Amino acid sequence: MNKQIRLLLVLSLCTIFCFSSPAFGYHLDEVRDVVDEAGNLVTKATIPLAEGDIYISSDNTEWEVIGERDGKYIVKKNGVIDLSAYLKMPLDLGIQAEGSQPVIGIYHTHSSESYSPGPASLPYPGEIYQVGETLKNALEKKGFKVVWSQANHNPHDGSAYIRSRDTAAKLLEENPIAVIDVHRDAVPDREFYTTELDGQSVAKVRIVTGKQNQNRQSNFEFAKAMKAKADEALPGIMEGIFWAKGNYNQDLGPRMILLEFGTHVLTLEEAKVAAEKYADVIAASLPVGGGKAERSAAGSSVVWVILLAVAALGIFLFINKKGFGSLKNLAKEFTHSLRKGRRD
Amino acid sequence: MTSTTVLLVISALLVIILGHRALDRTGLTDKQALLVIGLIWAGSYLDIPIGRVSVNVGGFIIPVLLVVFLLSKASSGTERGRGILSILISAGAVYLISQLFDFGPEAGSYTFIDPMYLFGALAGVVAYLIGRSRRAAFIGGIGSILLVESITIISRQITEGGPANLGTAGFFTGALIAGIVAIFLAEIVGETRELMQGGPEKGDDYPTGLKKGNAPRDVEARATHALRINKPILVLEIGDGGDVRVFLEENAQ
Repeated sequence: MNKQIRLLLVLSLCTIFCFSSPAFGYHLDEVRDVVDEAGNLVTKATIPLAEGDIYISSDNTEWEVIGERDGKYIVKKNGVIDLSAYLKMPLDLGIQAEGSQPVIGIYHTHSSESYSPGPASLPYPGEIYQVGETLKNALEKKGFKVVWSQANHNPHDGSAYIRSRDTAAKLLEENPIAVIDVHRDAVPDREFYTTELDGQSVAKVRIVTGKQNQNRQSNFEFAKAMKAKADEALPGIMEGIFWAKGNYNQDLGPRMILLEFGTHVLTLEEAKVAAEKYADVIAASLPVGGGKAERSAAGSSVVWVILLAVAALGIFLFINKKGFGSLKNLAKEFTHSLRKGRRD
Repeated sequence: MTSTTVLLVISALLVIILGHRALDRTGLTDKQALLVIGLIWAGSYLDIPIGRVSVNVGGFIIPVLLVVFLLSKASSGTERGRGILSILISAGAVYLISQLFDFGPEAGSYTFIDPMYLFGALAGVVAYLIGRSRRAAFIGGIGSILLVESITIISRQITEGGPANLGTAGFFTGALIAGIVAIFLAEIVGETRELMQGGPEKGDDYPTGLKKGNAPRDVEARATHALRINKPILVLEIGDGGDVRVFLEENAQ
């Protein structure tokens, strides 16, 4: 390949990467309505959604993104999901005995996120750390040992998750039963993201789980368990669950979850009250000692890992034009060399 | 054995197999590749505090040394130059993309691919096109992310401070995943390109030993193994006496 062709390839590749993503040209205050096929508002998103993304609204309706029209995302209703089974989950927290104290990890990928009335982003540490600290204290009152990382992952750019990945993995060394990445959202709409509980204005909570990892099922199960418990104990606090493209370090283990406590136009106090209350929901959703959800999810992960390995082998053989018959030859060569070795 | 244990065993095996195959493509010997994997694994338990930054031996120091070692093993100054250039240009591409896009859930998360895989793929392809080898892709994949992250963390420590972690994910740190993605993507791109092209380019620097008719015919008669790839066909023969011959045969069936 001559130099010009190579240069052209590099440039076209960069261009494709720059302009193909729906994320290009995103602005913080750009909010878009997500509507059903009849045009009724389902939710709001500051994010470029992709076809196939799943959103579970506060009334447990499952919506799937099917496209875009007039600057709005169109979703179709997949049905209403029944979360009642998650309410029956046995809550043997087993945290009374000293030494068997379950651990929860907390960290903040976006270290500058802040609330009103100040700027939406502050230099490290952003106000989001105060929300994390409130959640930590509330969980400790419930008997958990909380490892709260105050690591700085600034700047808030596309590599923030690469940096916070090291922090998330470090938290896993403590053998936590859950690791929570605490964020705030960027929907510029106070009314949409607040609810009232016990006469207080409280931030709503959105759960985000990533699809591009092998733990997606167990993380989604954990998200649904939290939604069920929250609907029962703190009705109205859940904004919903997004099951979207991405990873968010959730490949590192089961029950790695991302929580959005309100949005930048809310006050820090509203987010802190939500974190304080939401600790009950987290505590009630953890199947300490191994719940059914985890086992079934691990089982399906095994199947996926095996399928992926087989697919990779198939691609390798196809690319090398060897065909599956070569596996027989490989086995033959192996036994031949073994026999030869024995003769020697 | 529970499903979780099975999953852990399979994951560990996949890491070793994938890591070993990737390192194998860089030109390391089997023993060297296993040694590197062992060092990354053992080093992942060791953090060195530098100021408020925890620097992991397995996830940062060993990969840096590996990149330096692979660059030092380059057969010529040109290859070494291409390796360094591929790191710099890939790092530029990774930095550019990370400034243009925000992969977080508040903005741009619902994009087509996670940055960890995207950066690996991007660095791998760019580095392969510049360095023209699997080794260059691997060096570019790992080196670019190590470079971007080091510069970002150093500059941020000067301006903001706060605790930070570098490479503490060990085997699963972003740079190593990117290196593995890069090398396998380069393998697919390279193999596909060579398949379409119908074999390696013939130039003045084409090894004489690989030219047609340079292999003794008597070896062909005694050969027990023949590896045939593309056309003209590269024939690998291992004689009964253990002598190995490699030659190109254009008319072979």
